[in-house]
Amino acid sequence: MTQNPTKVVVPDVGGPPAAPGPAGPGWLGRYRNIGVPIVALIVLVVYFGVQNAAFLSPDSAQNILRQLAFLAVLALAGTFVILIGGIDLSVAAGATLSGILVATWIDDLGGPLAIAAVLLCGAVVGLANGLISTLLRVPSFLVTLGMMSVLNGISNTVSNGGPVSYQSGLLNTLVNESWVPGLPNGTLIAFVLVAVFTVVAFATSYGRHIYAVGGNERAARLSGVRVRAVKLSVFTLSGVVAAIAGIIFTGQASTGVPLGADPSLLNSIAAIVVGGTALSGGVGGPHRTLLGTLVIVILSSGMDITSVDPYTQLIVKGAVVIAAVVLTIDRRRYGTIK
Amino acid sequence: MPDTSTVTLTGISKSYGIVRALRDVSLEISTGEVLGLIGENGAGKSTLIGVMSGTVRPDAGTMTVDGTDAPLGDPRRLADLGVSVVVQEQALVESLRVYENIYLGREALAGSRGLSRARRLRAAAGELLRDMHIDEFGADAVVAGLTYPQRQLVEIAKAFASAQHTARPPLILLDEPTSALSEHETELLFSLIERWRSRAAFLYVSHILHDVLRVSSRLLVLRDGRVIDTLPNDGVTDARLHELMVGRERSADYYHEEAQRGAVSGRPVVQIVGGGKAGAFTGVDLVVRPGEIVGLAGVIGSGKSELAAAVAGAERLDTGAIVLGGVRRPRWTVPRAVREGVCYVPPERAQDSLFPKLGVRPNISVGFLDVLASRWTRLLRLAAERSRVADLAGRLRIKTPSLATPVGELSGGNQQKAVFARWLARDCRVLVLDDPTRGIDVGTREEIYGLIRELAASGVGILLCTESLEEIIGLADRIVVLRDGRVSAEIPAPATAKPTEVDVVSHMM
Repeated sequence: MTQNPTKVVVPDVGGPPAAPGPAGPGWLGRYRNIGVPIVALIVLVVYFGVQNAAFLSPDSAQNILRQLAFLAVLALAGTFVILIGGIDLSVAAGATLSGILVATWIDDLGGPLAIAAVLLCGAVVGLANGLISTLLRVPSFLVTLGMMSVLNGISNTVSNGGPVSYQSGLLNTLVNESWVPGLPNGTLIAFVLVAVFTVVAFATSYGRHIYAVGGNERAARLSGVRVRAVKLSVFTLSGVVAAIAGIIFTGQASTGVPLGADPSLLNSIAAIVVGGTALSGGVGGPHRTLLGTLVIVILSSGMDITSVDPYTQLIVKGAVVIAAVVLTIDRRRYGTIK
Repeated sequence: MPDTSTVTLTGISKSYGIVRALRDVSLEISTGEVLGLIGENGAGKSTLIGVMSGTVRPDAGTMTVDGTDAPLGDPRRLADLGVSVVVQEQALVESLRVYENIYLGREALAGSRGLSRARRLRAAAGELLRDMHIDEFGADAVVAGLTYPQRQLVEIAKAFASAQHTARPPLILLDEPTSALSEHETELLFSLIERWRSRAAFLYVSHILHDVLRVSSRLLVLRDGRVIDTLPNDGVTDARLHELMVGRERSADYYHEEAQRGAVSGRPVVQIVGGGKAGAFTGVDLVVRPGEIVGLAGVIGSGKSELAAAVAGAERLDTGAIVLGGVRRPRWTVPRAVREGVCYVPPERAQDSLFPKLGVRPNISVGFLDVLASRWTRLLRLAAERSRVADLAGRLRIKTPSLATPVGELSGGNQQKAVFARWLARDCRVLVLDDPTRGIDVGTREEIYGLIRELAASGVGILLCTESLEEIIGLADRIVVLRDGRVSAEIPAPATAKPTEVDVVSHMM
């Protein structure tokens, strides 16, 4: 065997033909996932800017950053679960419940303790999702769909179906004030979380194991990945991050609102998919989710500013999700669609 | 209806990439005959069955039924011509009843539509089962509730049912029909063949030579996809068949036999003691010493693959234990095995070892992330990852446009090199290889053989399980032969005194 450490890669000249490759030119296929959201972002900013100059004002930017805070964290909660090839439909309901619990507890327990308790609840919810789907082998979308309903029921029970108000100013400080000028703290938290999660995804064994499980679960197991532990921890993490999203939501709304975060479920999945994280697992990442969230937030705030009516907005957002899946899906996995 | 019918294959060839599964195969089979088809693993038996039943379309050649061309590659129309098949992989719909399965897709045989059709089908199936002397289950039983051998009987009944309704005497293809059957059930099948003989032609494929010799009127031997001989079943001995089935020239250079050194230490690095796994193997004792290449030989289904997987932690033992470095290891799993330096190259690259959409780099580094993690921060040292992977890719000469290219786009040989590279960066004590050269071109094979030798020379114990006898004999220091889940022989294979393939095959079958 020749030792040849300097010449890294031997170009494939005469070897046997490669396995059936992807359709289309290589570079296009490779950069399409990351290219789509960036192009979409530029097109949207230019379009809304031309339609209404107010879209480009500092106020509008502040508004976008505020919306980004909650949605980015919520989408982040779902990202790792989608990366392992599952999906967590209970993130928005988990966020709602956390928002209500923090509002209920913060005056009695004090800020830090209330927040810690809420995060713990999030972890328990996520762990329950993970245990049911891994130990009982139930598809995660069914488990979390059921969990969504359970959590909604608990939210309404705790809040008696009405808004929960609180006195503490802590959440306002944590979410709405700005330690960094021009950047609301909630958004700062979102950015920090995205940064931390991106490092976890790419520069830790745990992160690599997540991609391995999503890329080929059996191969992951046979190459020494503790698949079940990875799955359980990913669901738990999802629950905790959803709880953070809920705290941000309540901080922004200044009350705990039953069903408050729920309508954002589709937006959060849209953000993940538009960012280029494949629903089939193993491809994408937290940084992509931030990009996707930006697209979704700009789309909805642009439509607000250009006075598109809310019903039309629903149609547009649904269409965007479908379009994003169409543009980013890996058709190699589905031999019959061609 | 004519009394006899003759199926003729002429010049059938079929390649899968570089593997030539069938080369210019011709045969003829008529009503009243039972043609026994024998050959080593990979000789082309299953491909030939596939061609005759229509699931495999050959690259060249023709098939005729009573002189008229048969539609190759069209299972449905071949079935109409009277060809029916019982294969190893069962093709039953579990949620349906026995009679529904037997007549699936051929419900029209029972006449017009209507409520009474189900009754007529059930009656016909009931009669068929009686005729076959099958009384363990009724035509009404739901397939999901049947045992594996019972399902096999349903498959056989299905083949016979379609044979009853064709215009000419049928050809029934039986591919390892007894592999799951009890002795009693096997007898049932044989008496059935005996009774049907005058009304049908049979092609009988089995690893169990004893059965083939008992039931066949004529034998056809395949080797490397070629017909080696056809001979009447008249005083043929097992030994003669073994000789016909094997007998290739082995190149000592190809397997780097000059570099064969054997164990560097007498103390076993890994052992299985009294190992058993339900449905796979029982009472197996196996020892691998540092620097030794131990070959696991056996026919498909002998339990060798499961045994290799058990050593790697990928299958759990029901009885017995894994002993590593002299210490018993309960709850032996892949993560534990990897941590202890027992690394596994599984047989099916696409399903078992690759992350096709991930780049070459993460596909390689997944095997040694723990080595790359910084002691203080636990973060991966990405620069070290790049340089290590680049070194490994260079050392193994992995051909790829870049190390970020999805590994799924590489050729099979380069993919397999990437799987090997995964384990080379850590201190392996044992490497478990299951069919490491499957579907790989000759040049890359030789590189992999060289690599295996190099690893053994460095003191790694190697457990090698492959379908190719030639490969096992060429590489191994010692060959452990499995038959029906038990060790049937241990054959030393030093470079100076390699056993012949006949020596090994005689313990496999």
